[in-house]
Amino acid sequence: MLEARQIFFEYSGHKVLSGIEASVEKAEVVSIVGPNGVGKTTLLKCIAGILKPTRGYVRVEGKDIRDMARRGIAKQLTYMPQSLPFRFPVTVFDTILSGRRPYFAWRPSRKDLERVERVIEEMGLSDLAMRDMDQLSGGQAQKVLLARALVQDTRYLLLDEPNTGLDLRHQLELLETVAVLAKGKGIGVIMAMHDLNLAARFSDRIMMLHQGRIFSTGAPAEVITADRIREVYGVESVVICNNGYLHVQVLRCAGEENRNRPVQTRAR
Amino acid sequence: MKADCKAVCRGCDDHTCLRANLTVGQAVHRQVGRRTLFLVLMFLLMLGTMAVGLCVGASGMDPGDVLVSLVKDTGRNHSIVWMLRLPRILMAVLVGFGLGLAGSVFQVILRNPLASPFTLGVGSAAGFGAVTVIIFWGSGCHLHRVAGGAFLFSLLSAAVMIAVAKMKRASSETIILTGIALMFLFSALTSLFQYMGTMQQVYEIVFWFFGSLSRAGWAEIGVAAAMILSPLPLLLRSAWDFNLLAYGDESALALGVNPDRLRMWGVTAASLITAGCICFTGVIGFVGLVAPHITRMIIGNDHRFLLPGSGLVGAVILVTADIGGRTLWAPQVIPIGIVTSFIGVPFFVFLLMKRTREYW
Repeated sequence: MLEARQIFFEYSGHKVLSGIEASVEKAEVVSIVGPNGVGKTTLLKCIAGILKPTRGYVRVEGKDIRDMARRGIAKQLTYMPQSLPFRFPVTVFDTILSGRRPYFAWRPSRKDLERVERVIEEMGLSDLAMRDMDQLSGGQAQKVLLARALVQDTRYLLLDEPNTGLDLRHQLELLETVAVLAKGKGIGVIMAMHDLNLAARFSDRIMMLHQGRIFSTGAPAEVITADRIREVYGVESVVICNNGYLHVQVLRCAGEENRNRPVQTRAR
Repeated sequence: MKADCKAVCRGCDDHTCLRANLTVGQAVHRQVGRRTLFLVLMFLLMLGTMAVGLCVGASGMDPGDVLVSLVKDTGRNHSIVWMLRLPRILMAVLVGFGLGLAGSVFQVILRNPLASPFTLGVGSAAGFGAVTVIIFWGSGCHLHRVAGGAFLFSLLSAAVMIAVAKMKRASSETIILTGIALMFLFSALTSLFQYMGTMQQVYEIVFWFFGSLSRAGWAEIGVAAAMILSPLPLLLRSAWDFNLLAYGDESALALGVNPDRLRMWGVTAASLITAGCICFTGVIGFVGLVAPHITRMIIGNDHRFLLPGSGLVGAVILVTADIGGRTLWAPQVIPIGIVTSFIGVPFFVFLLMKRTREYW
């Protein structure tokens, strides 16, 4: 189990997180949702050991990550950022290979290379393997990031808005890959999500953050309700269950009754 | 798993271009082979230019004479080869290698293509150190004092840069801006001293700023070699850490590398190398900026190959420039700093125009 207990985080005196409890079991997918600036990314980075929480601790399989070497943590947890900044030309292959870095010192072993080749093939990236990263579309780049996260071969994955900037199909494909991986290989996944519908569809549990605290946590249908969405996002909505999927239909900003009325189709 | 040739070729250098239908594994294998080949070729090219450099000079020896003088004591020719030409060429190789290496380290740890020993103030600090010695010890003072001054001040500027970065967080922006501020400070101080100095002193200052390879003897070469080559094994060992740093600090952290610590000792090592390069030779700046770029354009950004590659390219550029400086206007010798820029700038602009990858 990966657990974060009583996480507090302050950024130059400004409280971002206060007393967050989060955990994920193997083969479980947990989504963190909440409006912009609520601390989703900060929480993920605290769990990944990239940021040091002002209070609280993170444990992997009962072991405090503060007692672990950086490289040891990298063999347990994978953090996939929203994007990677590129200043210099790097090929897709080299980028994905960098995810194996916790396992080799100077020269990647035969096994490392084979692992990378297999993931490239599985994710259908073979055509792009020798291209430079800056020649890729947003969707392709995101796939490469996921491939890089996969070759790290850890028991827990932390994904920061993995479907940013992707079209409908790519969003579905990417999240399905994640879901299959979680169930098939018993990997625990925590991901920050903006899209409530997709979060509900692909998660076992949802954590809704509000003002740096956990507002609600539980099964998707329990957490995602019109009342909570109004309170947290300030948006009036209807939550519908359709074809077995939860669906949030957004109506208008809360407290603005008359604006953004639905377009009336005039009868002829 | 066939690599799509057309897609790959769209923006390719010839080393990424897969004409045949290769599997990903084969393509990668081939790429590593090309990168290794590049290093070997550059090393041979370096030896070649060194040989040419040995045979070229005002005394008009032919290659046979040079070869004989290398192994046998032939009087005048022997001392020309051993006391003048060989030290000069070895110094060029060392300094070129060091500046190229330091430049590539600065560029990756600061994640900035404009970074180099001279854009970061280490060079102008060294210049100021030399100027201070010339002004206060009077003209005609010993080479070692000037070198010592240059060395001390370049380390001082690096120390200030590192201290500021330590007090804040060691972000690349902090280091770059501090470096640039220091550069302006030391340039201003140098100008002030030139303004105050006598004719003779100003003449010596200007001469020092031209850069020269002929000041060094064997002892100086030993000192420079120690400073330039000693950090090399450690730098090469961290090659993969540098690779990760190229993807940003957080990403490096998440893969088990501490970026702040890497940057701290990277700046220290690169500054030490720079100090070793310029204290005996003066300002030969351009190589440190260009050699890493040329290498990167050809073999990409894997620092296991880029670090030694930039060094070798730097060495080749500097030896070539030295040969040019000694022959173009013989028997007049054009200062090495000037020739480097004359040869390097057009070549660099040519490469910039020709390159197919856009990356900054």
